[in-house]
Amino acid sequence: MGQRIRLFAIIALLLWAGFVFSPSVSQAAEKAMAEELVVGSTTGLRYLEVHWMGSQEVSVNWHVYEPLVWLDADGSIKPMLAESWTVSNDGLEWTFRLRPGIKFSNGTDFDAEDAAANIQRQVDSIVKKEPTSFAFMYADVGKVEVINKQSFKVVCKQRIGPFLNYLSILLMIPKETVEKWGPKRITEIVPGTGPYVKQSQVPNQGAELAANPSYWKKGLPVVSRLVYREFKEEATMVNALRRGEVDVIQPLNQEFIPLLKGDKNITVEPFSPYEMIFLGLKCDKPPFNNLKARQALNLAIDRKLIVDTLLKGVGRPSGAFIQPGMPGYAAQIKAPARDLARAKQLLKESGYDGRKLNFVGPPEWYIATRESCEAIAAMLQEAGFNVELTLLEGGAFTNARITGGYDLHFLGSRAITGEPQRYLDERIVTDLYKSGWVNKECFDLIKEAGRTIDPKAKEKLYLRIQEIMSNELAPQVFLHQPPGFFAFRNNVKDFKMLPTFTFYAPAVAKYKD
Amino acid sequence: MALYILKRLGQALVAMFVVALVVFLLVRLAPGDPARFMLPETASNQEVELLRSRLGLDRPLPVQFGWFMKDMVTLDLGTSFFYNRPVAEIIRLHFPNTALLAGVSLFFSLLIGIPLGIISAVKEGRLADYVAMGIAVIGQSVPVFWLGFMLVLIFSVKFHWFPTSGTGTWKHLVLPATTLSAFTMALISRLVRSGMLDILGEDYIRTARAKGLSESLVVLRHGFRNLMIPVVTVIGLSVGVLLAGSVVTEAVFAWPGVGLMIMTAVGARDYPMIQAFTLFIAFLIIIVNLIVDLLYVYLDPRIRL
Repeated sequence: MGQRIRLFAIIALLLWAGFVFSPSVSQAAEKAMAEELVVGSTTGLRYLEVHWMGSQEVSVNWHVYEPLVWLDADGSIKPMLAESWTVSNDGLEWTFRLRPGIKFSNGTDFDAEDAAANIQRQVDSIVKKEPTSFAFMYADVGKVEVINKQSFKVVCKQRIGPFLNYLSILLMIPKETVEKWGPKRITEIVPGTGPYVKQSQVPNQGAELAANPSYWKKGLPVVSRLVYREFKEEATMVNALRRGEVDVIQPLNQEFIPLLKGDKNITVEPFSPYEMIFLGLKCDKPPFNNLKARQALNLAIDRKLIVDTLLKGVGRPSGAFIQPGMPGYAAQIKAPARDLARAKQLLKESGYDGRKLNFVGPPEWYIATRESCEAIAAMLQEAGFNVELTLLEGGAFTNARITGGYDLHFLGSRAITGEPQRYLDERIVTDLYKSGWVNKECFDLIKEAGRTIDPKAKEKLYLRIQEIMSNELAPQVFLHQPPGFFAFRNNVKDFKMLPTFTFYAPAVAKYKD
Repeated sequence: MALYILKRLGQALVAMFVVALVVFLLVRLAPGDPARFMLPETASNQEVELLRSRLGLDRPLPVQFGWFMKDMVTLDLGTSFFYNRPVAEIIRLHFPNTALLAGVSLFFSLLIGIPLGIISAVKEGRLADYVAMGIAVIGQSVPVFWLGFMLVLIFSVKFHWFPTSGTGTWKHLVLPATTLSAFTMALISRLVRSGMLDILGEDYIRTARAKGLSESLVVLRHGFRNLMIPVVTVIGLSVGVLLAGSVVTEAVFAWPGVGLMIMTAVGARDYPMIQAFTLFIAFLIIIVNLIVDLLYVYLDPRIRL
């Protein structure tokens, strides 16, 4: 009996010890948050200047500096530093009310004078002929008036249809910084209102950001340090992810996807970027000054084959330039199927004399660039075009495009502002690539769309513009919307790439392994 | 000696001038306008021309070259078009990394190359010779980028012994330095073998052996000392090879050195960076070669400068 009692006591003691000293269910479930999130990319950061940047600089900078409004992943505009806004009936006056209580990381208040100074800087940079990256978006701004500490008004000379989209990438810096530098490019780190403070930015290395303790959205950022690491070689970046030296890599080329998918610690995800790949045509000389030659080219290309084989089935053949999610997307304008016989017929009817056509392509700026260019060149040869493909180095390719030194070129266009107006203004009306194509009706519609604020009215205009361009097949023939990919280690939660090829990570969590 | 040094410095100035002229002309021959690259694509021709004027790119070439030489003489290396920062600051940030990588690579090359060459010479015609020279041939033949990626796959990704890229600790240095040292290690080992074979056939070596000295003493004290002149020569040549090879190694290992910066500068048509970096490297090579020549006097008293 005594032995049984002793045995029972021992078992009871062991059970008690187990409950007391082992982690509770909730404790076991609670993982420790890591202190640093490292994002790798092959796109380098150039300037410390906040109003002079490409998409990767936007990605990094808007963790430190914030815009007045936010372009959400679904294309809608949400409040950010501005909590509300109104536009006058004539569309010429925008009045913004700012969120109260926001401070820069150096402790100074963010108010209407700062906001006004930032917009005015874009306007002044045009006047002083030292334009910032986005200055042309503000070419029709007449003046900016401060109403009170929380409100200001922008008075436009003409209606600016995508004004809110443009403001979504104009990041706010202190007015003292604007006064100090004017339109000259800033060469020092300046304070922002964002969830992080930039501690350093070194050429070819990247940037290091630390949490802003006085950020206005409580609880953010989740991870206290964000490091942006630059890589020259994508293979190096992929190996760094496999080794756990970086947590996220973006964007990612398709050739590495099978390797990463084989790693149980890594997840690869696709995203649909606002990007369209196209062939730009020189429309002011033979053969592409002839509609039938353009039609022949359009039917000679097998878009589905390119997407299925070179893009591994991820991507979308397209016959128009506006992508899903952007205003004016025309699902009814389809990419035509290849019709080689008809293409040959049309080419013959166009009177093409067999002259050699200079087809220029870029370096690997997009997924499967070289393979796509080679495939297209071969398809065009089959149809009877005498095409000579040259893949150029970046600088030489840009030079060829800007000077019109091509018959056709391969290129993509990204809509970092989530709307098509910028593309239409720059590449069609202004004829950035010297295509020589002119269509008065189309150009007038583009200008009208740029002055239209009402979304429904704008939609109708964009649809008509796309109809004209897809009928004329000029100055570009659209090929496909390519896929985008990124990869991350499985202890990272909620990281997403936005369609604008940017990322925003204050709410991203990274748990210790 | 002082006269010799002065004469060499004079020659160095002429060499630097020629390098400056060649680089100045070559970068301007490449297609692409730096002003166009600096501005948004949407910039008008007028804005491009205004920036070109501000940067002095619309001046006649002799005028631009004159300004450039004046800046170099006053050690003003200019402002990077691409980064909008002083080039001197960029060199200061990045050159120490390249110097460290090149220095450690040279050390690895000597540490492995010299013993390999000696063993190969002493064991001529035997298995050790074939193995050593096989390693040397592989070192000279294998592409640097392939070797780098293979080392990463095996020692970083598979075994987790070393990091894949970047800087920070001594472990970050091992793989890039090993990669960069492969070619010069092979070069040194073959040179040492060849030189040692010649030396081991000399009369004084026969005499040393006849005196009853051990083989290791014969080889190391009597043989190797006479090899120092060609070894020091190849060290001087290796500096140029290592600096040039660092471009690929730095790209593979994301090592933030001047090689990586030059790659970026060339792609962006960043004239001040390309010119300044090239002249800086040329200056280093000239100084290293001058030091090598001065070392000859120390190593071989028969040499008079």
